[in-house]
Amino acid sequence: MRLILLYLSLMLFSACDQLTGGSTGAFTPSNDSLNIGGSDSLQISPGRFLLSGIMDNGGNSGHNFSVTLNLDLNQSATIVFASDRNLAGGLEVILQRTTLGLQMNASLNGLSHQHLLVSADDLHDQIDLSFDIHNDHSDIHFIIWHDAGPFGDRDNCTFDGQCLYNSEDFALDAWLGVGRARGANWGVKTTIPNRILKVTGPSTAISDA
Amino acid sequence: MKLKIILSLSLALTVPRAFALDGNGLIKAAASANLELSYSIEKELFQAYQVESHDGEAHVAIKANDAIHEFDCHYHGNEIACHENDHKISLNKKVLSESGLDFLQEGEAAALEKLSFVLQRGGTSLSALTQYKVWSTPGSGDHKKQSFDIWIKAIYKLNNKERTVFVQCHEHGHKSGELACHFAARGRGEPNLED
Repeated sequence: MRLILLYLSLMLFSACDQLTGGSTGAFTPSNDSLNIGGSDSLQISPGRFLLSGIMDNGGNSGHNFSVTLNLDLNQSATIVFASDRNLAGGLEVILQRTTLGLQMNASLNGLSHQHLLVSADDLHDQIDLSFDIHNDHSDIHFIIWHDAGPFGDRDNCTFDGQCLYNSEDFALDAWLGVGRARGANWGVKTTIPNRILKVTGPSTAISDA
Repeated sequence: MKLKIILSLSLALTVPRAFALDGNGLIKAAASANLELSYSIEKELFQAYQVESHDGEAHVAIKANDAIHEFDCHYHGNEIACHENDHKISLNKKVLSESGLDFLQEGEAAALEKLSFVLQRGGTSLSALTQYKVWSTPGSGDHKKQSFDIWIKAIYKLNNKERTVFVQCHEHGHKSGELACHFAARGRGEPNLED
């Protein structure tokens, strides 16, 4: 009887160990986890944080994400969308406060595009952004808005004030044939994680474009 | 003297203009040729069409009911007139297209509107078009919504360089009936309308 109880106890410990995900690689809060912007994150290497939440359909889907930052002059943070667990293969969006305003440099699959998202005159200390990432098409399509809107998604919305950036508006100049991102995860690359005040996502996409 | 002037004016108005049509003229020529053919072939049988500038005229080729119908179009005054000059392969059976003429033309309008924004930012307009082709294919499965796609291959001149772009248009999600278009580096299922 004692032998049976001992065996069952050992089995129980073994099962609990598997459930932590330690042996499977699954994302679980651990000693390496850090709260970034109200979300659990996993530091995968210095300055690289995998955020919780996975896009549907292995990343072949459309989702909304929102990010609130507070950057001093020349400080930057990189948001990575639809990447693998090492934050590779995804759409990288570098956000930097410059004397001109909030500068964006987005890149994927060897293509990149720079754009001034918000001019210095219109830029507040706290930066609230909303991102729609549509990775369910031949070429990725992404739109960036102020988190409070307006949420325009038509062609030319980058130029008529209805969005901050619509990648379709630069599809011929910068993004033609860019392809898709190659993962379902998201995260941030930054040396100042405390400057990221809030992150939410992946949520239901705002735009259907 | 008056008679000579009247005769000269009459000739000027009735003889087709001898200069090449720009992109806006090509768009009118495609519409005119499609309209003319739609009087003799049901719209549901239209499968594809293309228009290009050729020897000062617009040459339009339309694939309908598996036959290629060719038109030459030119200005008569301010109006575009098209004359069918050839059609090849005539079948007795009816060959339905993926979409029909109305949807092909909706896709054309949506794609050209999208292209016009880019051309305007480049300091030009749809007048820079030198040729384009419109066709449909079964849906790609992108967005898991579309039953078929409308494709446009457009060739235009910008800064003295000829460029080619494909535009893919289809219905998106809950906005039924509204077409969304995307630029693409490559097209899918492009038909050959040269023969």
